Amino acid sequence: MNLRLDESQRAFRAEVRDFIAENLPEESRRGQSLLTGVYPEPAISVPWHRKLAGKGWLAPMWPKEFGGTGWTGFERFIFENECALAGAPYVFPLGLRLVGPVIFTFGTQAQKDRFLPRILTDEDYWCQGFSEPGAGSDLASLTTRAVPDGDDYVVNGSKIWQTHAHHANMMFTLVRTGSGDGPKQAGISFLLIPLDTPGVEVRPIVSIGGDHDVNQVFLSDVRVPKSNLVGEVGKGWDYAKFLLRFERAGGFAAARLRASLKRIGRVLESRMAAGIEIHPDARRRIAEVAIDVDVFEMLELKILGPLAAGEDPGPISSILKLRTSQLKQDVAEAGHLALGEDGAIWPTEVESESDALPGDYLNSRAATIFGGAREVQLGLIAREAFRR
Amino acid sequence: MNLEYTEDQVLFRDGAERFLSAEYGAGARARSTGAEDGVDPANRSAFAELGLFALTVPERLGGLGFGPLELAMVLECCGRHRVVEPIAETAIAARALATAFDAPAAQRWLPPILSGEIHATVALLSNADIAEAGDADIVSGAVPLTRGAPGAGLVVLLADTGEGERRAFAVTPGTEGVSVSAKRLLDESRGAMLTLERARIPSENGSLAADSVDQLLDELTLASCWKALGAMRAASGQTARYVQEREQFGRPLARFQAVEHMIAAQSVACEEAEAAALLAALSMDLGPSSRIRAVSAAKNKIGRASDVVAKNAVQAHGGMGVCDELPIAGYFRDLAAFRAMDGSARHLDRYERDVLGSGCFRESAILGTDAP
Repeated sequence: MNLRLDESQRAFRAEVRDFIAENLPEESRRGQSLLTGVYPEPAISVPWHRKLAGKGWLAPMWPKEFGGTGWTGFERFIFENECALAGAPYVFPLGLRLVGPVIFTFGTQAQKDRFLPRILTDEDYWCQGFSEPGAGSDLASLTTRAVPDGDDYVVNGSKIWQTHAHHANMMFTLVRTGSGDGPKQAGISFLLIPLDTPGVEVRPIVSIGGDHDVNQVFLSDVRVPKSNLVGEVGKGWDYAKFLLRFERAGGFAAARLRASLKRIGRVLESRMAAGIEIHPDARRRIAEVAIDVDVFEMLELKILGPLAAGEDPGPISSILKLRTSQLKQDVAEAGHLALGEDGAIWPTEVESESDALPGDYLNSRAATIFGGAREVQLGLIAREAFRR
Repeated sequence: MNLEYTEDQVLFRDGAERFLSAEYGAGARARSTGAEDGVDPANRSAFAELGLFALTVPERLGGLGFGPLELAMVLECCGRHRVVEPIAETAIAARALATAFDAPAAQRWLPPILSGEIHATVALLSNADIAEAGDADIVSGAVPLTRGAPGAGLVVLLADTGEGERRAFAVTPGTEGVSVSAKRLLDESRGAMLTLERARIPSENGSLAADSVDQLLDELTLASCWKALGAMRAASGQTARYVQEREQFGRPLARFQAVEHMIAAQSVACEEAEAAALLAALSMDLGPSSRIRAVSAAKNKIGRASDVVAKNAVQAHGGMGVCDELPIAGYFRDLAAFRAMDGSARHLDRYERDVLGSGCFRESAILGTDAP
């Protein structure tokens, strides 16, 4: 057992570094450095998405036959670290990390042929239609209904918290197709809805940090071809659980947390250069958070490193999700602390990295809510402990 | 990069685990806790026979030639079984003899340690005052609370003169000018503060680079972290079982969400502690800055994580948690001693100075700066 890079890993690292140095667009790097929301806007992420797609490096988490890279877990770890630490923007994960694995695992050949390439080429920008106003943590109580009618389903209902739905052209949804008898997890299906279909309306929601990232989506008599239903009718809940495990453990979050720490480091440096003293309590808290990120990096590598691309990480994904979300908040809070009294200022325009820290702190509160709230994860983790 | 244990590592660890399960029950442990200096000679011989003290000593000096990770893996078993004897302390003292002393001195001192005739420990003597006097050194200074010092046949003092150079001294019982103030510790092992007042130590002692002193002390911290991990895993597992058996208000405690979340917090703490312990063990050979970063991170992180496990373990056991009858109270005391000892605050200070202060926290802890 060791953490030393072997010769091929060192060569791989150098190759990744060179590629980033030559190809990362400056606007993408700058946009990411000023990020306050959860994901950068398409204007920031898409140019980088296209560079990676051109190189064949966009989907390391996919099996090679669908456009993956064939990298080992350790290579994926090196790649994600190099990208994040160079300041590359986060590639929007909804297609790549969430619906992609569901389609290549459970989809028909026709669905794989149609949708997977369009994720890679950026023709489709996906959003997620799971939550509803009446179904948050209790997701299985969703009521959006899809009724068969000829070759179509007719969908009625409303979805909420769709990140980047205002940029997306596709939405993967959970809809009720069953009779309503039996457990509420039964009778749910996984349906792919083009957002340009008549009857779809997207309304913005402004976040706690003042950003427009999420939306509510209303569906009124929306006709969706039956060929857009993934897998078996009524098995949507199983596919959703599979997808959520990827959402919770689909990549090396420590690299992104490290990139945020790096931003805080630069802000600290510029504040000190301006003669502003950093309070010892803030320094100590930042040190503790940095320790937590160091440890989380190892935890993630230990769990994800041995997995093949596209392999289900299993129930341990709840521990990764919980810690990722808490650390996202802890890092953001450490950044806010680094600002001292200036942390009370809400910048009207984000022009510097320090301007981004208050909004980042505010928006980070969502991290323990979306993708299965903290309390849901704790329940799942406990149930796993009881099984042992 | 490779994250799989070798067959040899697993075999050795499993051998230690089997021995402790079969032979180290409450009776064997009580023989040591009841002994004057906290170590029963028969237990010590058994541990020596198992090879625990020889683990990290090079083969040319009669050792097994393993490294810090293998010692750490055994210590995890020791933590689970609440081993009270100074296993890590003796093993690291043996390693210090092998690395810091010339061959004749090492060959003189190692046999009684490897055979289990004596136990030993290693301690830092900071701001030491050292004067040469013919065939001896006259040494003054103070040694903080050190586990295993009472009754030790040998104490390896790693002396820091405050001027960069480090010396190692082998101190035997009865050396004039050395006073030992023995204490019973929360985990029922024994420790002592040592005071050296113009102690006359024959000059067969070694001279060390400053970093090898730090390395030895970090190896000791690493071992104590893994021992804590073993105690955490055991306490956490026992708690998860207990809340499924114990019923109140007509249902098992495990069915209450507040209790569920305590169990989940323990699981998370154990996973993080294990990752911290592993990162530290695997960073020992990545160069000083990686080692310092990972060991100080581990000591701090496992300190915090063990607090979560220990407190929830006692709380979930209710009244039984605060009785001495169950091992839970014992694990709580073991982990409290772990947190109190070995410079928890010093490690956070060191991390703040060497990792935050240098800016290397901006780089990956694994792909970091001095990884070859």
